[in-house]
Amino acid sequence: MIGEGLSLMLHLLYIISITVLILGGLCWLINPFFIKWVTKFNPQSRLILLRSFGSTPLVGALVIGVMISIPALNHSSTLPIDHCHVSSNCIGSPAAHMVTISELAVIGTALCLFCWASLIAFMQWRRSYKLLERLDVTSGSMLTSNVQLIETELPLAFSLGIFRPNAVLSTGLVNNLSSQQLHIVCTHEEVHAQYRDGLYKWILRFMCTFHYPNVKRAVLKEHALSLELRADQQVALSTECNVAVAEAIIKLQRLMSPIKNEGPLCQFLGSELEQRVHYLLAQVPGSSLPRHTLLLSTICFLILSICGSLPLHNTIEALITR
Amino acid sequence: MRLGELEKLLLNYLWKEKLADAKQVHSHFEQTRGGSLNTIQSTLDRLYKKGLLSRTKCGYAYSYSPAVERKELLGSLITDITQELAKNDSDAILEAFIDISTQLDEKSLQRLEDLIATRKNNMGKDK
Repeated sequence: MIGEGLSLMLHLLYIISITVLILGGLCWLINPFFIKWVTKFNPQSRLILLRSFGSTPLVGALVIGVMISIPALNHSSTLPIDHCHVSSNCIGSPAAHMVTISELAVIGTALCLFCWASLIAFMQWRRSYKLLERLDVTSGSMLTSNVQLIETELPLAFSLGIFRPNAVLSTGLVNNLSSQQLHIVCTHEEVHAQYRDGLYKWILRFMCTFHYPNVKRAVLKEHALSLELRADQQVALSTECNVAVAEAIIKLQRLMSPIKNEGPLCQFLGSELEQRVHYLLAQVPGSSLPRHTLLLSTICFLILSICGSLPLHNTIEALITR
Repeated sequence: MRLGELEKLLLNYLWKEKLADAKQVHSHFEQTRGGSLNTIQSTLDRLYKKGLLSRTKCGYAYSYSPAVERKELLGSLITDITQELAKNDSDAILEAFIDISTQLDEKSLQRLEDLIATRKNNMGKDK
């Protein structure tokens, strides 16, 4: 009984693991075209597309795993795919229906990726929590009901926290900005906190571990830029002045200049700032994904998953047992 | 270890006063905030257990003092935040208005400023 359960679990894990790797490869192939295509949309639509693309290997593999396994409930062998191994490759006796060594290697690879993703996610959560703890102890007054103030001459503005995000501004920044610019920066950070951008970024980072490294980098970079563009767009809507938001961005960049010249940690990512300013000054904000398209896609995906379950199962079974 | 409102108040008080026992703290907050001596004692004890206060026994009562100076704590926090801001987007845990890692040269900044000025002028003419 335990052997049968273990065999079932390992076979299921194998199907999920191999699908993760195959879908990761497919995403790698289409990634350059996808990233280029995504930039045609407005930030909100970009975020939906990027998050869907980022989750494709893991979520897709889980869906396919379920699709293949459900028809196997009628199998007498209790295996997701009713097939016979070459007995020399099989772990244990052929009668035990265990996975082969190569199948086990695929499972191991996917599990290692999963453990790595979990470890990184945990460490990031811990870092964020530790910072929040100290921020909580040291922060003085609240600038507004949602924005905390920290005492430092450095011009800092950021939102921090995964589950309970906080918007934070430094006194150094507050003293150097006009009231309109201060309102822009506060609203920008509040938008990040309100949309729980930190949480989505954290989840996407976890999901993207199952992509190839260059795909992961590209998706996360585009996602981070889209988060900033959306926050800028929201601020521009509330202030009804895109130019003022662009000006605030440049002003902050100028205030930041002395800091970044101090350390060796700077990297070249200046194009992101240029894109934000250009986006704010552009007349056309980019097309948006219509709601009915999203709804239709979801319905099609569900129908395909349900109806395609048996054909997919039979096709794979036929391929393996041939 | 997120702090409650009273915990923050007591910690800030002790950062200012350096050393006080529960009775002194209570008499300070009695007027402004209210609350019993027991509440103050248990809050001070909680802060001590969280490692934020140190205490020495003076007779029957404990005298509390901050275990870490505010400036020290703030300094390490700012250092860590600046390091986070300097990280690339995939690893950073903050959403910053402007990334420290974002580096634009003077020429590019000037070009963007000119672009904004042109847009402002156009808007002025339109009005």
